[in-house]
Amino acid sequence: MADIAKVRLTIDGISTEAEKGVLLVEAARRIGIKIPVFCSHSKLLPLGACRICLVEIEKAPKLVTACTTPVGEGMVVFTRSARVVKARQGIVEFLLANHPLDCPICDQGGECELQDVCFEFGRGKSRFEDIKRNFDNKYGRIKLSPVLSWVNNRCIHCERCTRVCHQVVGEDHIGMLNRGDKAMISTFQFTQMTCELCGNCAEVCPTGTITNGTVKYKDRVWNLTPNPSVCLLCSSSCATRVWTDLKGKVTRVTAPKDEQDCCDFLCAKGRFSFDADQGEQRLREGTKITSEVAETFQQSESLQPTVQAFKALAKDSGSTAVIYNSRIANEEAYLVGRIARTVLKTPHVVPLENHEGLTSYLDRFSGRQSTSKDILSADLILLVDAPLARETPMIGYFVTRAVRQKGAALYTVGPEKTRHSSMGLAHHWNAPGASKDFVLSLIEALQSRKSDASAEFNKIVDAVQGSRQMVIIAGSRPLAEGPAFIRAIESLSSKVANSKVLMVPEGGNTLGAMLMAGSGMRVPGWGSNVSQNGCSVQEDVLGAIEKGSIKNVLLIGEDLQEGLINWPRWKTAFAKLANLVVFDAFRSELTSLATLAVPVRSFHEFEGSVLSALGEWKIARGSIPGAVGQSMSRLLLKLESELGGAEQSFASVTSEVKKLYQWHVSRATEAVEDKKSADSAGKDKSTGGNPGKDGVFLLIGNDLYHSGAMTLRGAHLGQFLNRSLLMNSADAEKMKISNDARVQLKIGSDKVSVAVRTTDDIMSGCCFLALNSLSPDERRWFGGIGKPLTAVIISGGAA
Amino acid sequence: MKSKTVFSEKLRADILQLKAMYPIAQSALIPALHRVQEEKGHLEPNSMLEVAQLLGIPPIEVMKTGTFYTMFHHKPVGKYRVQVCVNLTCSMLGGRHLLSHLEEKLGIKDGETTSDGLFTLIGVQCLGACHEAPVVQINNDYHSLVSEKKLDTLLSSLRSGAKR
Ligand code: SF4
Ligand code: SF4
Ligand code: SF4
Ligand code: FES
Repeated sequence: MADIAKVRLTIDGISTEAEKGVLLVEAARRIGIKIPVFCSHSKLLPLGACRICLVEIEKAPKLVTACTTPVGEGMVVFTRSARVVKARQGIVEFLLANHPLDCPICDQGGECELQDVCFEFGRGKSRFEDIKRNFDNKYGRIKLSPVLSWVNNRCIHCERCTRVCHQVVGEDHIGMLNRGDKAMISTFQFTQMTCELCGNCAEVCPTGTITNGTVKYKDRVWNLTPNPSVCLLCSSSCATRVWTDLKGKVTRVTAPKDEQDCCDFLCAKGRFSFDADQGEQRLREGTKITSEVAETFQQSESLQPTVQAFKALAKDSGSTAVIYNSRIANEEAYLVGRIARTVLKTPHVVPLENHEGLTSYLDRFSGRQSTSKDILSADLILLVDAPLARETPMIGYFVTRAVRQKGAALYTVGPEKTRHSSMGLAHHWNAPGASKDFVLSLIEALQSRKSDASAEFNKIVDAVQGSRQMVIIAGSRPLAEGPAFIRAIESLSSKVANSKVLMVPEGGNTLGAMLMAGSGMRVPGWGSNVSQNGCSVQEDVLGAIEKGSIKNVLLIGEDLQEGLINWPRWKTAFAKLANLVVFDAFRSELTSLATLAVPVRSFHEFEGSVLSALGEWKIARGSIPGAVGQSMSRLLLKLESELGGAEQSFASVTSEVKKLYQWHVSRATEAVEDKKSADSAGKDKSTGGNPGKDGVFLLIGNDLYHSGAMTLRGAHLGQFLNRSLLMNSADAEKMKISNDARVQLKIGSDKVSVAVRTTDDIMSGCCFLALNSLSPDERRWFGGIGKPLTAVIISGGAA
Repeated sequence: MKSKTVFSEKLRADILQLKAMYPIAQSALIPALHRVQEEKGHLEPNSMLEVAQLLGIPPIEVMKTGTFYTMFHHKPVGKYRVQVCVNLTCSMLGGRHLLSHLEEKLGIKDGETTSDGLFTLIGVQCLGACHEAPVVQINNDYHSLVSEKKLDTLLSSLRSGAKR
C-alpha cells in the first residue's frame, strides 16, 4: 500500500501524528484522550448530529464537532478548555431536557453511554422546569420486533440505529419520524421487523431506547460476566461475548466491542439463540445401554464407559465409521480424525456437510480466499448464487458496508433475488446448478462478446473488465456443483487482475473441520491425492451399514440427527449396528438409539479454535461457568491415552493444529490438480419447464429465523417459524395458485402440504422452501443443502 | 407480494413523470407527496406505500419525509388548514397565545377539525419567516405579524367566503 501522508497536530498540549483523513475523535483516542460521542460510531459514516463531541480549535471562530473534522497540519485542539466544558454541559442539559432518566428500571443502566457521558461531562443539575415530553403508550413502548424492546421516551436522536439499519444491515426498516420534540424512531406504520441482522440497532443504541427484549428486566449488567467465545451457527463463525449471571447461567450473547472490522455486530441467530442450549432438549447426562437396560451417568464419569465402547469399536478395524459435523473446533476435529485412523484404524471418516466442491476449494484457496478487508476495499463485488443474508448474515454485512459505505459496485447472479440484489446494480437470472456455466460464459465474454447475451449479463462483463479490485462470492449451491465449479472460478479469478474468491459453505467450522479431520478419501496432512478408499459421504456409510460391511458408528458433533439425510432410513440402519456411539450436545431420537451417548459442550460452550469462511482464526476459550462437563478435546485426549496413545496436552494439540493449517495454506498456493474429472458436476442445466407438470427446481436452505433445530430450541426465534413455499408470481398465475393458497409438494413418492407465497424474487421454474420449517420426518426426502431437487406442485393440497 | 393500487391511473402517471425529472428518484418524493395530497386530501399509509413503490425507495423514507413536514397531513383535514407557528421566535411574540386563542374560538384542540369540516388547527414548528413573527399559514398563504384581532377578521372572512 502506498504511504498515506501524515500530519502533525497538537491535542491538549500533546503533539501527535495521524494519517490524513483521520477524524479528530480517533486521533485523540489514540493518545488516550477521550472525547465523548453519541452519534459517532467506528463502523458508521460520520454524521455530526448530537454535538456532544464539540472541541475548540485554535483560530477557528466556533467550536467544531470532533467526529466529523479530519486532522489538519499544525492544528491545535483543546478538548477540555473552559469553552468546551461549558458547551458540553449545555448539550447534556438539552439532551436530558426530555429524557426520563428512569435508570433504575432501564435495562441499559450500567452500560449506558448517556449515563456515563452525563456523569463525566454534565453539570449535574438541570435548569429545566417544564414537563418532559412523554409519548403515550401507543408510541412510547411500541412493539416493533418480537425480540427487541422499544422505549422512545429515552431516545436522544443520534440516529445510530437508523444508520446501522441502512449502512450495515441494509434493511431500511427503521427511520426517524416527525420532528422536534415529537421525533421518534419507528418502522413504516409500526410494522414488525424480521431481519437477519436483527438486534444490531439495539447493540449500537447509546441509550435504553432499543434494548434486547429477550432479557428485559432479567438482570443488571454489573452482575454479568462476558466470556469470549465463537458462534458456530454458520460458517462466518463470529466472535461473541457470552454473558453469564452470578449463577453461571447464560443470559445473553453480544458482539465484542473491539476495534477490528469483524466485530461489533452479530446476526439474529447468533444473538438470540443464546438459550438454545439451555432447554429441556440439552443432553446433560450420558446414557449407556447394557443388556437392554439404559444407565445414566455424568460426563465426568463417562471415561470408563467410553473407553469400553471404543475398545469394542477398535476390535473390528475397518467396520467402524466415524461421522462428524462442523459444529466442532479444529482441535476436536483433529483428534477425531487421529483417533479414527490410529486407534480405531478405520478409513471411514465422514463429514456430515460434504459439499462436492469443498476439498477442491480448500486445496486451491486455503488462506488465499477473500478476507473481510478485501470485501471492504473492493470496487466490484459479484455474488454468484449466494443468499448471504440467509446463509451467512455476517458475511453479507461486509458486502452491505462495502456497497453502502464505500460505494462498491454490486451485481448478483442466481435463481433468487436476495437482500443484496436490492442494493446491487443488476441481477442476472441464472438457473440453479448452473453457476459453473455462468462463470464459463463470463470468461468467454471477457475475450469476445456474445451477441445474444442479456443486458444484465453485459453489464456484469463491463463491470468485471473495468474493475480494479473484484471479489467474487459464491454460496453453498455453487459449492455443491463440485470441483468443476471451483476450477471455473479459479480460472475467472486468474484472468482478472486483483481479484479474490470467497465460497461460503453450509455448517459452522466447515472449513476447519474438513482440514483437520479430513474424510475417507482425504487424510489431513497428505492432501486429497492420498486415497484410503474409505467412505467420504454419508450416503456411502448408509449403504455400507445396510450391506452389513459397517457394524459400528461413532457420531461426533452437535445436533447430529439434523444433518442425517433421510432419517427414517438411517433409523432402520442404526438398528442393525453392534455399537452406536454418539457425542452430542442435544437429546434426539438418535441419542436415544445410541448404545452410548456422551454429553458434550454446545456451540458456544466449546473450547478451541475455529477457521471462519473468511479465513480468520478465532478462539473460543471454553470458559463459560455453567458449561456441560469438560471440553471435548480434553475428553478425547484422555480417551486416547487410556487407549494406549501418548499423553498430550491441549496446548500442544493447538499448536499442531495451527501447523497443519499453515501446511495446507502453503500447499494451496501451489495449485494442486484434482483427480476428479472436470465434468463431474454442473450438468443440471435448465431454466425450468412447466412447473405444473414437469416439476420445479426446489431450492432448499435454512432460513435464518427458522434456522434448524437451533432456533427452534431457543424460546425466541422459534416464534417466527414460517413454512411457506416461495413461488414465482408468473408461474403461480399460470397454475392459478393464489398467494396464501395451500398446495401439495410432491418429491419422489413423498408429499408435504405448504402455503404458497408468490414473489417476483425467484426465477420462473424455481421454488424455495426453508428446510428447517419441516419436521425431520417431513424432510426425509431432501438430498442435502446445496442441491436443487425436482418437485411437482399440486394445487389445492389439503391443509 | 405487491399490494393493490390506491391511485388513479393519472396520479400514477404523474408520479412516474416526476420521477423521470430527477437523476435520483428520491428527489421526486416531496413533489410526489404534494400531488397525492392534492388528489386525496391527506396521506394514508397505503398512499405512502404506493409512492415508495413507484419511486423505488424504501417505505420508511416516504414516512420519514411525510411526517417531518407539517404541510403533509395524515388524517382528513378541513377546507382551511390553519397552521400556527409555535417555534421559538413566534412563541416569544405570542404564537402560543394565538394557538390557544384559536382553540377557544373554534372550539377544537390542536390537530382537530371543526365539525363543519371548515377548519383544521395545527400548531407547527418553524415556518421560515421569523422576521415577520408571529406567523400563521392558512393553506398556501402566509400571514405575518398576526394578532388575535387580525386572526378573527381572517377567520370570519374565510367563513363567509366558504358560505358563498
Ligand atoms: S437510557 Fe441511560 S440515562 Fe436513560 S434511563 Fe436508561 S440508563 Fe438511564
Ligand atoms: S433509538 Fe437509540 S440509537 Fe436510535 S436515535 Fe434513539 S438513542 Fe440513537
Ligand atoms: S453470522 Fe453466523 S456465526 Fe455470525 S452470529 Fe450469525 S449465525 Fe453466528
Ligand atoms: S458525536 Fe460528534 S456530533 Fe455526535
